Amino acid sequence: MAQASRRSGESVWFWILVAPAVLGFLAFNLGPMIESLYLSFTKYDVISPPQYIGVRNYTYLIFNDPAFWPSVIVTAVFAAVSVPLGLISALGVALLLNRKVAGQGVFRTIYFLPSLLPATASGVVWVFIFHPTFGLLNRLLYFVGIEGPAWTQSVTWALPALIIMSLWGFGQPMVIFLAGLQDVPDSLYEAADLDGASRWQQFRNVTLPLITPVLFFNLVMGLIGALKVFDSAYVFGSTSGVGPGGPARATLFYALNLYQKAFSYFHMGLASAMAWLLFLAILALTAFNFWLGKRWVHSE
Amino acid sequence: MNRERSSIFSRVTIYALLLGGAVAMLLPLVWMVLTSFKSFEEVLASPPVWLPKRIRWENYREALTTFDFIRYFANSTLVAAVNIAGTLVSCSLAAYAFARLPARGSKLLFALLLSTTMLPAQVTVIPLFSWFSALGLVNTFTPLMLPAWLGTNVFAIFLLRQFFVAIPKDFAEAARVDGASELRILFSVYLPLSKPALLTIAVFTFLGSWNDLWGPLLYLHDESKYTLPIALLNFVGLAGQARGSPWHLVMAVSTVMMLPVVVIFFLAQRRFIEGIAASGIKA
Amino acid sequence: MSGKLRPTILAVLLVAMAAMVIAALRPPEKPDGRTVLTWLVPMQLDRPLLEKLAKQFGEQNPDIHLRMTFVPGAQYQTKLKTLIASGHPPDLFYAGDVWVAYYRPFLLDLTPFFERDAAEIDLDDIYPAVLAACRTDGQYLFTPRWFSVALLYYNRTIFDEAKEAYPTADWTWDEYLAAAKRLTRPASAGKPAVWGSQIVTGWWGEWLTLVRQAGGELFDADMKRCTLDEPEAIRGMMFYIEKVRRHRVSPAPGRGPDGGFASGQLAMELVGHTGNWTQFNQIGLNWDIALLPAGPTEKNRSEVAIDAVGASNQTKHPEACWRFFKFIMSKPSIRAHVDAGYLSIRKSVAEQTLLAPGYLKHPQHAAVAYEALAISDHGAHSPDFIEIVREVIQPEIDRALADDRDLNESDRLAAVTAACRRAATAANDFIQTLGTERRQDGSGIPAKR
Repeated sequence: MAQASRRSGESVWFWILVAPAVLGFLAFNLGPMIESLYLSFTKYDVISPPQYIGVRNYTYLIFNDPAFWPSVIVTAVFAAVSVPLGLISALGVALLLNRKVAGQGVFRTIYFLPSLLPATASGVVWVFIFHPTFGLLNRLLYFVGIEGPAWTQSVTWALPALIIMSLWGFGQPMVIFLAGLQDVPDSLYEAADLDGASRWQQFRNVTLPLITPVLFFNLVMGLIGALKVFDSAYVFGSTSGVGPGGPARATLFYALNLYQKAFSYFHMGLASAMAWLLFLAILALTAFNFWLGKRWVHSE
Repeated sequence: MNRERSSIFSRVTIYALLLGGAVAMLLPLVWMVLTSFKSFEEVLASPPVWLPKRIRWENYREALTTFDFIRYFANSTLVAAVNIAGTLVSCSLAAYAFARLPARGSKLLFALLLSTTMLPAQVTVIPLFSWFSALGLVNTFTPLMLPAWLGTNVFAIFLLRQFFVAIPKDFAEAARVDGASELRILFSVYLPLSKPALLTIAVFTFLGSWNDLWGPLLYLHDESKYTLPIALLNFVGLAGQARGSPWHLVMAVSTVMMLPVVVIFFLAQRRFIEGIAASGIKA
Repeated sequence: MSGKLRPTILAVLLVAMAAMVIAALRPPEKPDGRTVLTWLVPMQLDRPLLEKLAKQFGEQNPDIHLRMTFVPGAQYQTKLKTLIASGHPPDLFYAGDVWVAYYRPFLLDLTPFFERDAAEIDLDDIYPAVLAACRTDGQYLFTPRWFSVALLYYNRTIFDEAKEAYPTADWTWDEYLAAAKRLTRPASAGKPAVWGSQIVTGWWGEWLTLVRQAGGELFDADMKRCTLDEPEAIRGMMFYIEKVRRHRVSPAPGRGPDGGFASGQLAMELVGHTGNWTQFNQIGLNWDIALLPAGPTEKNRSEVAIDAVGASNQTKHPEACWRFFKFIMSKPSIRAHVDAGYLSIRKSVAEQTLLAPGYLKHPQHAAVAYEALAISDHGAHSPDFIEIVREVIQPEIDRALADDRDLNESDRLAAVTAACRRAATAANDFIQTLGTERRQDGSGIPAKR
């Protein structure tokens, strides 16, 4: 009897304690999600009430909007290049750090720090480094006899500049890789040594399979993050002197395009449609990753 | 014999690589600080001037007085502080409930909350903006501070729950026998034992808030309310400068903006890195 | 970190933060019974001038309190529309002829005030071209402060060193181009490169003027169709692009000197902006102005743009707003504008200052600005003008300008034509689907003058 009343008492307490989180979920996640789905079928500029227009937002985006597909391509290219490069760098550094070198803590701090810095400040520093005339990069290239491109103001080089900048912040996946590497039992390496396996063979057959779970995690998180990039793109664009999307939309990331449409020009319905397309893309990509992951991710 | 020699060789190589990488990682920051001490002529000079002739501390004074820097710093701090408090409170409550209070629907609710991490901010931003706008809350700090108080930091809930679950149940038994309420148990037993997690969450929340550009860009409209990220961008793009942006001053502001992050990171780094690692492993 | 040190540092940090937070939460000034007018001001170089004028206005009108809020120029339009959308529009905000079509539904019609107080403000003293630019469909929708006209800017030092004759009012595109070629020289020992002419990128100021000078236009008379793909428009666009890619008198995007004309490395600049005059003089540039060189059709020797203030049609204090407008248009205020380096909208003030010989060292021929004003055209705009030009058309132009292949003239023409066609098609798609619809009263699309 006492147990039953205690359990129902706990139940009541449960709902009391999670009430803020439930409220938050409804007000900041579920509610807006439903509303934005509705808005994606309307023409809405915040000043006048929404006007239902069916799927015209979606068809405009896919068939007529000159900025939509370029922004998809920019984002996709960025993701396809920066995520693998970032993961390889992160894994590489983690492998080096895993070797019980002296000063491991200091190195780890140095590699991790850039990923924590405010994207705005880092972005501004990198824009300065990429400056065509007196930026550090072009000055260094000049010493090697190369005339560097106009980077943030160049149609071809603005996106590569952003990719280079994003690689600077591989600290987070690196730390996770490091933790994953440290979880691999030494006994396995010793056994491999006894079998006469080379370093490379050890890596391929012991290390790699056992870190596939963290690799998977970093890959999924990295991809989702790449699809949502906004801050650095905004900084690059607004300091390039050309406009937020960069020259000829070179750095018009999807989230930036969405922000422009919604908050510079108040096409809220259109932007909501863009948001839902992004959401569906993320869901599809993640589902695909999970499905693919069953094949290559090692499970306990 | 061979192994030892190859191990020395490989050690040197590893050090060289790590050192080289570390230099590359730090170079932008070093360049930023060096530039912040130069005069504008030294910045623009060709052939390039690598080191400033003397350290110009006055750049900092000039940069920080050209715009209302103290106010922006204070604004950023205020928003961060309120966010930290809100997150710790609302997420502790929820995490404790999920960890220790069985109830029907608990698993489903937890799964729902976890799934919100997949929802990009872009989906929710427009309705939220329009609702805040209707409530007259645009151009206030409320939209930036309210979500934290309603448990929207799912990562925090997740992490705290992990910690709470690992605390043996009998720690609370004594208190429960004494008739303590659930809240009292949470505050006097669980929270004190979860300091590493709380610290990690506080640091994460601070970073998220200090570095946030998106929220202030949307909701803060007059300059008295600006936070540092927006203020910095506006400073770079200050209209009508004959020679372009005053990079030496811009770098000074960037340095000051990065300092709190660096300081806090150094103070809390061990716990912090553990926290990140934990999130990756247990995900 | 030792155990004692860390908490101490944290404590110190917390106390410091608390102090700053308290400092930040200063309460706003109390108006105590006065009428409060909120004024949303874009942050530009004229901030000290506006603050001074606001203070004077407050002294002369103690019953009105002017609360100014400064917003960086790049975000100004977003902030303004957000405030309008949330139902709290500022009483006063920046307006001008470029933005009027966009803001027409929100602007207070000032015509009754202008007509009622015409004598008091000495309406005849204001240049007719300025007043005409302030009218849309016959309605006064904002109050002018100063204006800019499209001019040819030239650097006298560079011309003198090359022993080139200064530009005259008879110049055409040919003379301009020829001089630019003669003046362009690469960097040599100790001296940086000099370019014959600036090219303004990322903004429609230069290319649209050149398009119009060639007889083209951006939209048709109804603003329902983009006409950038017509031969005259393409001709203007080719002239623009060939400055960089064929004649090589202008630097490619990103390759030019920081600071543009002010850097002293550009011999000439087309169109420009009179708001830059103070800057040029502050750095001691030796410069002057001339009329824009005539294009093939001899039209559009100049365009005018007005820097103005408008009032919200939801303001609770229209009369107070009008008092402010009268103040800002008054002779002392315009004189203050001139002292701060802006052009006078009033004939009387101009005659005492800019048009008086020797008043300004640079530009020596300030009167040319007023000649340009007299012959200026004032482009009509659709409410979507900004968005179409910035988001739909500008990227195509950026791409065409960035095309650094070594093309012969006909290939270049084909490429530019293709770019203009793509831009026009996309613009037309936009107008069909997202374009602001015309309202019953015709507002949204101002008629041509």
